[in-house]
This record gives sequence, structure tokens and C-alpha cells, in this order.
Amino acid sequence: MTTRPSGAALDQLRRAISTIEHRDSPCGRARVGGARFSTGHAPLDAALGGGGLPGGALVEVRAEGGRDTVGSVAVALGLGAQVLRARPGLGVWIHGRRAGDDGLPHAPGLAAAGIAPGRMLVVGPLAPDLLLWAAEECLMAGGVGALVLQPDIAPGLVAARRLLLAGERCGAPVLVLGDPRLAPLAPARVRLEVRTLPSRAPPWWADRRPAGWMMPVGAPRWQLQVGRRGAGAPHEMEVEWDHGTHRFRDGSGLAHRTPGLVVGSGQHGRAA
Amino acid sequence: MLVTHERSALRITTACARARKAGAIPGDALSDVRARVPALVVAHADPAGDLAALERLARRMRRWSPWVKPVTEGTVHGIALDITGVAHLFGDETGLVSDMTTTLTGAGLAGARIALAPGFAAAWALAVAGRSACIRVDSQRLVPALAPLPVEVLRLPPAIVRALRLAGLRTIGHVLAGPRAVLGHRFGALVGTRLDTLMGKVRDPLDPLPHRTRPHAVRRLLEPVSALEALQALAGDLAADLATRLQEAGLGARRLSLRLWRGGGVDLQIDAAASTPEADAGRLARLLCHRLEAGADRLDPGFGIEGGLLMACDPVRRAARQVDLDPDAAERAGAREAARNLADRLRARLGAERVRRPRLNDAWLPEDAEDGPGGTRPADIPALVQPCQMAPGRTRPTLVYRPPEPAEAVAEAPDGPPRLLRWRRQILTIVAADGPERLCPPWWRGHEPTRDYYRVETADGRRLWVFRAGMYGAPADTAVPQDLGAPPPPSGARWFVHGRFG
Repeated sequence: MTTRPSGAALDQLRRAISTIEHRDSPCGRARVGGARFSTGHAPLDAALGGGGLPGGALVEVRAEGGRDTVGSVAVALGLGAQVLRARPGLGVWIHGRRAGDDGLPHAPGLAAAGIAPGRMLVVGPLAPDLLLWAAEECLMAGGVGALVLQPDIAPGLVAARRLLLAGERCGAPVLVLGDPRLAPLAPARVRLEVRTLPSRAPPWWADRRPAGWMMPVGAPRWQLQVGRRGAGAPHEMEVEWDHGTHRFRDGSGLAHRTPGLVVGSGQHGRAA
Repeated sequence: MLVTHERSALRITTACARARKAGAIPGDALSDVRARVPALVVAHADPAGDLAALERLARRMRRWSPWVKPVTEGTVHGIALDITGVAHLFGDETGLVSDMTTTLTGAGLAGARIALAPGFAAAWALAVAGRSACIRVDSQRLVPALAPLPVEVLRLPPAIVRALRLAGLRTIGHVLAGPRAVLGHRFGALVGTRLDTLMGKVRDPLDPLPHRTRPHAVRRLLEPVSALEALQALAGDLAADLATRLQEAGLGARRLSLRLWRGGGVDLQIDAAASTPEADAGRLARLLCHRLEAGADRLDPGFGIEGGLLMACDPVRRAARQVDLDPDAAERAGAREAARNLADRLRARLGAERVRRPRLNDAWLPEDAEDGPGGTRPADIPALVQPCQMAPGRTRPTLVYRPPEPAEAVAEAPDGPPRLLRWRRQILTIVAADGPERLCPPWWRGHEPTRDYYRVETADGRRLWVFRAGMYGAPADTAVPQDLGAPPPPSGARWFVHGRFG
């Protein structure tokens, strides 16, 4: 007669096997020890799974509903900048042939976003097969702090799985910019859907609005839907980029030009 | 005229004929000579640079003889060549001298003096003090040719030369006529030795410049191979041999040239580059293997590769590395090293133009503010954990379009921000704007118009970096942005979208 093991015993056994399987890889240590990279915004960290962006995992960043994809690129860069603050190594951006539609990285802009341009390696434009080869090579080589992948076509299941294994070995988060018109990346542990929002008005704008002046442009602001594999419905939040600290911060509140509203105030701005 | 700092004053070391005629004598203080001749053109002497240039010239003169040596006596510079057995390659000695004269004149050394004599000392004496610029003397006519030359050509110490002159022995002929025993007793044995050397009685061998060869490795195969794996194995063996030689010499190679010998006398050449001088066999082999893989489609081994030659094109001395005892610093150094190796491998496989490390330049125009596609410039990846500091006040987009994309705008003249923008077949309403930030091209690119940059936000939240090239109402021909790929403008101002803020 055999006895069925209890659920707790099975969980313990699974954890032990996982530790043995991954004990030699940085990601194994990451899973056991919990290597996470904070984004500077506690609700976003919590939505990402507690502690921030997971190391050694695929993170898909997509534009919501096929809209303008530049917002997702900017969010991916912001997340990459957070990782590079905490982790030594290069920030590698590998892009396909269509990346020029969104624009290519600009050294002064990277510096303004808190990323030392000398720490960045921009690789491309590459055909899809070379792009995956380069990504895997980077992750297997070591010396990579964060990897941003901007492919023309979504990697297949096998390629994505290979990327995941290489990422686990390296310990760096792999940020894959997804095409909103295609199916989501299956092995991604975290998926962010990005929608660009209008920026908020500066606090002084409503009181001292000079006649005939246009409102100044505020900090970049996005709506994020953060979904985690096996964690239920995605969290929705609004964040904006803090140029002073080079981190994400709360961006909730109404934009400066929501029509027809008189009441309602955000953290810094006021509805017009 | 050249001067050098000597005995608390700038003193003349070399003066041209016109300066000498005007009263500039080597050894005089520059201030004294300037008082007499104010319009003097003066430069500082560079003896080390002169010697280096002389050595370079001597190496180039190996085309006439492999036995070459640069010689310097005081302010006179010369090059000694042993032409034993080489004159027939140029017809005869006359042909050799003619070829030499033509080449040196073509190189801007028309004033060079050439002398051919049975020994180096005699040739030097004739070249320095001979009557004509080109003298050829055989052993029979050596004494009459040397006799009228001054005793300075014996290359004796100045005190002995002075003593000889005081004794009335002013030329070689005077010295030769005197009894040898008395000469040796009164002026020292060196005079007799130098005289014998001059007359060719004592051998005066040249100590030639050593040959400099680039470190290289050669392998010949027993049978031709054509498979990529076999070629990679050959490259690995060559890399191991070359690495051993580089390590023995304390050198590192930044550029490698692999020549594969294909049957039929046609070679295949593959170049590889590293960002730092490398002497590690594994890394050199990986670079070559990546290059072979990348060019596998175009690599035609024909009937097989029979061997190869791997050469370090620009070997440089490798600096010793300090081992850091701080574990954190050691980890950072390891990360830098890994990053450099990764960049090299990617460049080898994908091509240098596809692997770019952005770099800030101290310039305002966006095109000039960063380096273009990076080649194999020396890698000095900065500290990998320190954030970069950006000059305050500059707001720059993370993403830019190269080149900027033309747009049409409705804007207030003369320098208002755009209110409506037509870009990529879309009409965008601008609801927020910052600017203008006026950027002017450098004065030496005067044909380019000034640019007024604006940070604008559209109604749907897109944040763009746009600029107006030229001014409203300005003549159209001065406002054409030549390098932006735009059609000829109908008016003086053109709008472009240059970047995105996310």
C-alpha cells in the first residue's frame, strides 16, 4: 500500500530540486535569494512581484493595443537604467531593422536619463536570426547588466526558451519589446502593457498662467498594466519619470487638459 | 633656425645659409642674434625627433642595401650603407647613385650629399667635406681625394683636433705626410687608428639597424582543407603560435590579418580587430573564428586551403596590469574585461558598423554630440557602476531619428512653437511646448541654418523634439538644411522631427 505525499512535502521536494538544478547559476541564487531590482516606485515594485524587476527572467514590454510604441521603449529603457544602477556590466540594446521607426538611442539623452553612454552597447540593425544569436551571446558571455531586445518579429517558443535559459545563467533581466499586434511572449515572467499619457501640468501653472503662453511639457507619464505569470489579473497604475532622481514615481492624477472637468487634483497638478 | 635651451639661454643649434650670412652662428645666444637681425624665424630643436626621423629614413633606405645604419656626428646626420654586392642590381654603382639621387630628391631631400668609397670612414669624410655633392672614389684615387680634406673629418675629440691645427696639420694630407711614430707620440694612438680606418687599412664594420618584423605565425597543412571547422582549427593553431610569440615579446595585437593560402596562388584574407591589445590565444582564436563564421558565405576555398599566415598588424607593448586586492574592484574590473571581450566578439561576427558604443562629445548640435558608429577605437569602458553626469540645463531625448524627419508646421512667426504639426501623414495638435533652444552650427559650416529646438507634446501624449531650420522670411537659399535629406524648401524655414522623449 502506498501513501500519497502531502502537498507541503511535494512543495518542499520541488524547492529542493529547483535549488539543485539552479544552484550553479546566478539565477539559481537569484531565485533562492531573491535578486530583484527596485524601480524606485513601491507600488510598481509590488506589482512586479515584490522587490522590483526579477533578475534572470524575461520581461515583456508592449504598447497597449497597437498604439505608439515609443512609450514602451522609454519604459524599457527606464527599467534598464534601474537595473544598471544596482548591477555592474554593460547595458546592451539589440534592435532589429524596424527600430529606426521609433528612433535610435542618443548618447546625450541616455546621459540625461542617468545611463552613462559608455555603459551602453547598441547592436543593430540585425536580421531576426542574428538578433537572437547576439542576445544569447551577450547573456552567455557575462559582463551584461541588463539586456533590451527590440526584435522585428516576436521570438518563437524555442528561441524564447533559449533566451530564458541564457538569462537565468547570466542573472540579468531580459527586457523584450513586444509587438502589440502579435501574440504575447509565452515564457515571459512579467508582462507590462504601456500606454503613453499626457504629462501633468507643473504646480505653478494654474496660478501664474501667462497669457498667450503654451503650457510647458512635463515629465513623461505612462499607464502600466503589470501582469505576472500565475498571479491573476494585472495591476494597473500610472507612473511618470522623475528627471531629478532618474527613477519612476507615482503619476496618478488627472492630466493637465482633461476636458470639462473642474474638480479633481493630482499629486502635483490641477485639472484645467 | 633652430634653438635649444642651454646654459640659461636659448642658443642657436642650427642655422640655414641665409641666417648664417646674416650673422647667426651656432652656439650664440638667440637674444644677441635677434638684436642684430630681428626678422629671424626660430623654432625649437627636437634632437630626439631628428634621430627618430633619421632612423625612419634609414629603414626606408633598405631598398638599396640591407646593411644600413644612421650616423650622427655633432649636428651632421648621415646614413651609412654597405653596398658590397648590391650595386649590380641597379646596373652598376653609377645606376645605384642615380637611383638614390632621384628618390631622395623626390622625397624632398635634394640637398643630400652622397659619397661612395672603399670604407665607411672615407665615405663619411668625402660626404661631409668633399667638394661636390656626389663623389665616387675607388681605392687607387683615395689618397688624392682625401688629402685636401680638413682634419675634422677624422672624427677625433675636439682637443686633439685643436692640437693638430696648432701644430699646422690642417688637412689629411698634412697628417699623412708626417712620420707616424711622432704623430702617435705627440697626439695619441687614436690619430693613427683613425688614419688607418680612413685609408681602409683597418676594417670598420657597420653595426646595422636590426630588422623589425611583425609577429606572425605560419602553418602549412599536409592536405588541403575546405570545411569551416577545419579552417577554424587552423586559425586556432595559428592564434596559439602567435600568442606565444606576442607573450614572449611582451606585445599585444589589436589588428590581426589572417591569410589563407588557396591552391592556384590566390590567397584569402580575413581581418579581425580587438579593442585592446590582446595576446591571449583563446581570445585571438575566438575573434578569428567569428570572422570566419561571419564570412562563411563569401569564403570560397576552391580546391582547398593549403596553409595560412597570421600576422599582428600593429603590435603594441602591453601595459602591466595592477591586480586589485579589493574584491569589489576586482569584480568591476572583471566585468569591464568581459564587456570588452563581448564587444570584440560582436564586432567580429556582426561587423564593426553594427556594434556601437555611444559616446558623448563636447558639442551642441545633436549630430556632433555623440560619436557615430564605433569602430575599434581603444576601449576605455568607464567605471561600470557610476551614473553619468549630464550638463545641467540640457534636455535631450533618449531616442532620435537619423536623419531628422521632415514635417510641416503651423507656428507663430518669428519664433513661436508649432501649434499644428503634420508628420508621417498625421495631423498632430500641439498642446504643450518648451523652447526655443537655439543651436547654431559652427562658423566653419556657415552654409547651415540655425536651428530652434522645441520640446512639444501632442494631444495624445506623444512628446517630440522638433526644430525649425532657418528663419521665416530669410532667403531660402541660406536656409536649406543641406545634410538633412529634405527637398528644397519653398520658404526660409523648414520643420523637422528629430527625437522622441518617450
